[in-house]
Amino acid sequence: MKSVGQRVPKLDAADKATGKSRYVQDLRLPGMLEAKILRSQVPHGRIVSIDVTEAWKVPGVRAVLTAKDIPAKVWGYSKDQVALKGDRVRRIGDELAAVAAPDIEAATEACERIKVVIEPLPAVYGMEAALAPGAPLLHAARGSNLVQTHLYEHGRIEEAFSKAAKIVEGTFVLPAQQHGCLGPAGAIAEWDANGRLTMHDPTQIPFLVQRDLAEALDISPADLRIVQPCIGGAFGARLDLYPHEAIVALLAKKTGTPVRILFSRDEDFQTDPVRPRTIVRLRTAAAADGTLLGRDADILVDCGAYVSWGAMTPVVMVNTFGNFYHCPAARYRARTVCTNTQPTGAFRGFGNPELLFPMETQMDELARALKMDPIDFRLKNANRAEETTPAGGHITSCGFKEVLEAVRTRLKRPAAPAAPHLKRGIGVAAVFHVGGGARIYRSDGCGATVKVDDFGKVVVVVGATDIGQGMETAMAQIAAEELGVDVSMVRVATQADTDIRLWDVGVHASRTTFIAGNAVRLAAKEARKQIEDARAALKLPADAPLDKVVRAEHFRQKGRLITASVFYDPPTSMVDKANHGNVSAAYTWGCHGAEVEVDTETGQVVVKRIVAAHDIGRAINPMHAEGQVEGGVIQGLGYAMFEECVLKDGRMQNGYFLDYRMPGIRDIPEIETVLVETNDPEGPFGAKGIGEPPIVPIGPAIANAIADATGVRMREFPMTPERVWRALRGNR
Amino acid sequence: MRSAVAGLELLEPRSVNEALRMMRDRGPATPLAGATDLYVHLNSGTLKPRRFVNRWALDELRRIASKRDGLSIGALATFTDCLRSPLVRRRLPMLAAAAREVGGVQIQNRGTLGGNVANASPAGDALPVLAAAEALVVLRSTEGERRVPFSAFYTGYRSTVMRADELIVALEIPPVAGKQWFRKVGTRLAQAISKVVIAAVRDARPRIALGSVGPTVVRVPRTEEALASGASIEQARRILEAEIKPIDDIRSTAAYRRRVAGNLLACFWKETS
Ligand SMILES: Cc1cc2nc3c(=O)[nH]c(=O)nc-3n(C[C@H](O)[C@H](O)[C@H](O)COP(=O)(O)OP(=O)(O)OC[C@H]3O[C@@H](n4cnc5c(N)ncnc54)[C@H](O)[C@@H]3O)c2cc1C
Repeated sequence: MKSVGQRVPKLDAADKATGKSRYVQDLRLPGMLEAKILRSQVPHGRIVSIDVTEAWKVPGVRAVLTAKDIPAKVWGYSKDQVALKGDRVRRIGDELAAVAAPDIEAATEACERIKVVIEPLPAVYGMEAALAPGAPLLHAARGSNLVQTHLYEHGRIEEAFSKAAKIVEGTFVLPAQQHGCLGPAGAIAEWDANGRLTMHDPTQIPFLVQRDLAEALDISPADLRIVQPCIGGAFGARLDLYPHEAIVALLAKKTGTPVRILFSRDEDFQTDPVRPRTIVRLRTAAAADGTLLGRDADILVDCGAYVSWGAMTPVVMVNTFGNFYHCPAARYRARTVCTNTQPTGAFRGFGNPELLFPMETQMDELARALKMDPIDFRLKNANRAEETTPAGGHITSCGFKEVLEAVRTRLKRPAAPAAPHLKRGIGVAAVFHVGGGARIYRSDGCGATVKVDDFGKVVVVVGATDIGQGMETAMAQIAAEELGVDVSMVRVATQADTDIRLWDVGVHASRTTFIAGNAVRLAAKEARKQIEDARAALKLPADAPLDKVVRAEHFRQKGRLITASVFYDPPTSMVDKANHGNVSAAYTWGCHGAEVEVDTETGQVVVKRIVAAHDIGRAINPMHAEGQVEGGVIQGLGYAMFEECVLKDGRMQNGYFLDYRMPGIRDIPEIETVLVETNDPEGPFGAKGIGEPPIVPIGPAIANAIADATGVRMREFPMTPERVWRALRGNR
Repeated sequence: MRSAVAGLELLEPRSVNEALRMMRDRGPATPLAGATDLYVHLNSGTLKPRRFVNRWALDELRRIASKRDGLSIGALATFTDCLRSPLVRRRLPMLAAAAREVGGVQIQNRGTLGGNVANASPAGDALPVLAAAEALVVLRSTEGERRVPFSAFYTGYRSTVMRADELIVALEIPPVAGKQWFRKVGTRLAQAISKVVIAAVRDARPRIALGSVGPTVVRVPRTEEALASGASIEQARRILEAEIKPIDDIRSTAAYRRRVAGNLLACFWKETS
């Protein structure tokens, strides 16, 4: 193939590297005002009064809004969110008032002058405390801080555990993780004279925002258009509608002028829809010959003060829980809980890193207890192609064996360290993930239009969103391959808005290359057919260039343009009430191996080397696939080793990059990436998703390596030197 | 940015004397050096001063010179200046080592030695070096100059003997005999604030200073004394762990800091033997 499988550099790389890409921070509309939100400094309380008189005295102020000035609409994932809070605050950072002024200094000063009186209420921060009887209630209407209970079961769980040769169990604690996107959140709103709203909004879900924002503003979705500027990273942080999007639209309406809101870095830390704090109690049972018998989990997931996508985490987790490995019995309960902390959301991997740290740790513990090689133990219980799991997952292509063997051959036991207080070890962990979309909405589809113009230029208009992952380049390669043209002839209209693009559910679940890729491939195929039909009808020679055929077809009597639109929705189903179903058109496997050195005197863990093998179906662009793997490994390394939100009385203590520690280049070891191609029957040119899987197994691989080196099991992230040091001393 | 910048005033003196007069006549006026610490406060909305004296152009404060067998380092010398100076590398290699560990390249280019000293953070990476080297802080005002021994400069958490009308103009370092050693343990391998930072000199009279283990940078006289009088490193280590008073904070715990400080002492002793 000439385009697919080639290491085509990102089409937007030069613009990004030279500062030409326009992010929301770079956009400026004529007359545009800047907005600032006044936020609660009280974690839980009753709003007594908000007095904005003094704010109006700041020169230039054009609008000051509080709950009284906006439509009384409740919206959000579970209809518990409002744009500006009028009676209650439920966390530090809740939106109380908003100001629009010509510059951010004036808007900030006006906010500082607003007088707020809040009567504090008892607050609750831990999930277990929030579920205890008599706990302060966040949302009275729900009657409890419990949001939802998710149950799943297959096989005979009690029997499985009663006949097990070995059972391991443990409680695992996972912290909130910040997305820390390079581009903090922001948006620009402008209304035209006919009362139609345009949002310049770096969202991951333009078509759902069209619906949800219209609802929050009490306008018709037909009067709303979403334009996405270049997006400075997202990783799940832009997967919902957030209060600032409604607020900026309301300020723009009030002033009749475009208004922009940009979050400062500390505001971004305070409002980021973090990966939820999670507690997993897990037991796993196996027979003496290494046959997996059962697993049993009880899970708590923190939603924070309002329900957003964090509440979806158990639905994603259960997919792995029910499908991964041959496990004849499984039982699962997960509860989502509200606390007075920042609302949680989607984060790359979406529940899978939280679940697989426990699951893959116990796979390692069982292998050791049964004196089996951890890779052999996994192989013995591995999923295979062409099988249907007890959870209803239908497996098409499967490279599980290949990724395990790839790590086995590349991960070597290290030489003994130089000093007795240093210990070295190796560990592996595997991942199962959706690779062909994930039907969590009624539609998991994406539309695409391909047109070929008189000059042979191919324009792809696709519903999908590029958040930096390389969608644009992958779609161009797929269209070029199908049409038989060079990639340089293809443009992907990434700046097209929701009026022009065809519907797409959004960028999540590692779905874009698979779903949008299929839509683009089918549209390109149809365009190609139109060209070939024209060539035949017009009796043009087989070697007549493409543009010549297109022109001939265009300029003949009753001419036609070459254009094709396709909507691709994968052959999958939503889960039923019991959480069974085939949500993805393909599944994917990966395995990471880690080599570590542990300083037993300081607890410092140095990750020396990582091998990351992933079943990708086919790499449309191997260079970008490697980039996804390396990026995922690094983000997962941060989650496992460094990052956590330190809270005190509901306030984040380390909401800045100096103390919210993402890995720096010196913390990142050598990463060897292996791409396993299994040629999926449904994927475009055989491809499956790769965006999320690499963030998942790195943490447990490191934890298993620490156990190999020291005999100590880590069950809490991040595995900081202090925690490892305490664990080495028996947690004294 | 949380604070409005519109209400801030910036004074631009053309000489050190003019700067000192401004600080006397137009105070309270806060001297600016590289502004790497001040900017953090500005950004977080906790900056109280409104008037600043910008001395970045006063090159006379940037000089690094030999002073008898020791050194005189201008307060405006940046970490980059320090780590590139052959004089510093020869006479005070532990300062070059500390400068290399401060922030990233941008911070090293802007952050100054004087700013690090005046900022008075217990985690300032250059401070243990200056303490172990027994530096003098040269303070100047319109009334004249005084020299304060480093050990007498800090009076408590983020407080110093410096008056509001005084500037640090230089740090004077007497000749340092013996092997110098520096080590920083941060929260990650680069761009990190110290959990424990140590500078030490191996000599008949060992000198050891630590940062991030108390409200100010500390010398540990009892530990030094023990090592000078031939105690084993294990004994010295126990004395050190009792002598320092670290706290729990978001970067680490007291127990862990004690342990790491002890390990670092052992490393120092082994690597300089
Ligand atoms: C991202 C980042 C990373 C950092 N990493 C480190 C690190 O690893 N290690 C470390 O030690 N520090 C670190 N710092 C802190 C800072 O860079 C240093 O403390 C630096 O030395 C401060 O110097 P400055 O010239 O920028 O001081 P400024 O910000 O200009 O001043 C700091 C304070 O000192 C006063 N002052 C400055 N010069 C004088 C003078 N000559 N006389 C009297 N008062 C004076 C000012 O009024 C102010 O109160 C970091 C800072 C940032 C932003």
